Amino acid sequence: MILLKILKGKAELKQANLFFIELLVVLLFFSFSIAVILKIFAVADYKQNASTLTEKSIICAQSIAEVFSVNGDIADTSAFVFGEEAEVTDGVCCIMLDDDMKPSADGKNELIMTEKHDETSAGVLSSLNIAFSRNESEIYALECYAYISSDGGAADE
Amino acid sequence: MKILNNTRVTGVLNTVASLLLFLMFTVCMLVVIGAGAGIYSRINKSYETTYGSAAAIRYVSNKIKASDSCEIIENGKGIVFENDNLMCIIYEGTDGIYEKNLPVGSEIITDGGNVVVENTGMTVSDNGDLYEISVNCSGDNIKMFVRKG
Repeated sequence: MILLKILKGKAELKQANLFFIELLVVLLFFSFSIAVILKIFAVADYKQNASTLTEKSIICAQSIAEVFSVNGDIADTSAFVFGEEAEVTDGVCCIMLDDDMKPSADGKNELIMTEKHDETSAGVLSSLNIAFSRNESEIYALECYAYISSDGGAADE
Repeated sequence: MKILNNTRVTGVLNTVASLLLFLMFTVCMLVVIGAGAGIYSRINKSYETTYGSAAAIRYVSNKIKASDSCEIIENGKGIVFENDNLMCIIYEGTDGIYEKNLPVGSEIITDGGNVVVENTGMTVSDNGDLYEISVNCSGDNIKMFVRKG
């Protein structure tokens, strides 16, 4: 009787061990799946942040281009768009922006505007290169022009 | 008797260990599901605010560029465009930005239009040679300047 009970116990133990092994195998497959899924989540989050930043950069660049086409001056443009006049050195202006494209000393996005002037007899053709970058990789770049005639008025596009 | 007791204890321990393993697996899955749901919710919200705002601001700016003349109405909450025989009114309503097309010369009423962009507010102001368009979608504010003419 006792022997029967011991044998029954051993059989139960074997079943439990089989269950263990099956569960471990299942856990192994699920852990691989979880690793892949978590990577997908991380990449999706990163891509969404990158596309949002690009979209805001495009809108900001368009605003800068529109304002520059009216006044043809980089300092006036930055004052108009960002509310504060930026420092211009040799026709280059660098502004640090936050993720909402607002000037911030702690911002991680860099806006570099490079201005060139071509003086002609009829007026001045100014060109402005607008470039947004983050962590030394370019997000978006745009080139725009403004023609200020000699009588002081901006030319129609 | 002692062997029987040991067998019983072993059986109980096996069951408890299996359940613990299963519980750990369940907790891990719940954590992953929670993380995934949080990320999806953030991506969805960010998508709605960014692309809703961007679409609205582009729509209005393109309308300004394409129109012959513009007039700001309702203290900046609306703008009227005129092209040949057609007048287009874009205004901020209760559910978002609305658009209404009317023949030139009609009475300008900011009511009865179709929703262009939902859950978005709009303000247009005159800054000399430029129009300033400000769009607000779920707390996200985007501003853009558009040249007149």
